[in-house]
Amino acid sequence: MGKFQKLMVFWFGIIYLFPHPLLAQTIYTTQVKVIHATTGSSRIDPGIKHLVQEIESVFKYTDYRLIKNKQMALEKDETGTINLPGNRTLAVTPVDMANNRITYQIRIEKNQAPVFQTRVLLKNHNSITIGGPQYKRGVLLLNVKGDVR
Amino acid sequence: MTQHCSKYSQKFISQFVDNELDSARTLEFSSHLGDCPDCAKLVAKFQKLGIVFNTHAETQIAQASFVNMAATPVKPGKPTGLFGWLTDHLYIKLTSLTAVAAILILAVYQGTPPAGPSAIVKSLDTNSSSVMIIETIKEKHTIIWFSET
Repeated sequence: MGKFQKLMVFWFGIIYLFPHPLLAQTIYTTQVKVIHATTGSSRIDPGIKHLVQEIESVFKYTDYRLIKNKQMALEKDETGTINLPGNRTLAVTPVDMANNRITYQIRIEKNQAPVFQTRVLLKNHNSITIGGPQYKRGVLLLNVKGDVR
Repeated sequence: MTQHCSKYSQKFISQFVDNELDSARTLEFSSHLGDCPDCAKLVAKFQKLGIVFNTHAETQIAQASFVNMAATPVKPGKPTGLFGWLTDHLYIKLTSLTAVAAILILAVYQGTPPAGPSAIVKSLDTNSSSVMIIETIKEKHTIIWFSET
C-alpha cells in the first residue's frame, strides 16, 4: 500500500469514528412563498410563474401576487414562523428525513388559535401548496418547499 | 541365401530395378532375364522390396508429418471476444463505458415523469368544514385546500 493510500485510509477511519452529528448537522432549507390569489386581473408575479402554471388548472383564480417569500435554514425540530395577513401565522418544523422525503409539521394559527395542522412527507427539492385562508376577496396560497443537500 | 548367376552382381540387378542402368546394359540384362530364372527371381525380390519400402516410407512420412503438426506448440495469441477487447487500453475503455452509461441514465431520467406525489399527507387536523387533497397531473404537485370557518 502506497503512502497516499495509507493517508487516505487513515483519514477515512478518522471520519468514520468521529461522531456524525458533530461533523454536519442536517440543514433543512425551507422556503415559504405566500401568494394572494384573486379573480381580478390576470397578472402573475415573476418568481411564481412556474408554480402557477402547475396549479392554475385546479383553481378559478386568474391573478397571483407574491406577497411574501421567506427562506429559512432550519435544523431538525426547529420551527420557522412566518406572519401572514389577517393576524395569522404559519409555523413549519422539519422533524425527520427518510427515503428522500422530509417530514414537515405545518401549522396555521389565526388570532393565536390553531386552525389547520398537518404532517406531510415532502419529497426533497419539492413543494406543497396549502390554500384556503380568505384574504381581500381572494385566498392565500402557502407554498412550502424543502431542500436537504 | 538365394543362389544367383555369376554373370551379374546383386548390385547390378538392384541398379536395374531402380532404372539406374544405361539403355544398352538395361537391354542386355532384360534379354538375359528370359534365360536366367535366378536373376528373374532376384529382380522380382528387389521389386517387391522396393514396393514395401516405398509404402512403408510413405506411411512413416505421413505419420511424421502428423506428429510434427500435433507437436507444433501453439503460440499464445490475443484473447478474442469481450475479454480480448478489454485487455488493451482498459482504463480508457472503462471510462468510455461509464460515460456512455451516465448519458443513458441521464437521458432516461430526464424523460421520466416524477414518481409519486410531491408530498404525502400523513395527518391532518382542522376545524374546517371541508378539506381537499389535490394532485396535479403534470408534476404531481400536492395541494391541500381547506375552507376556513
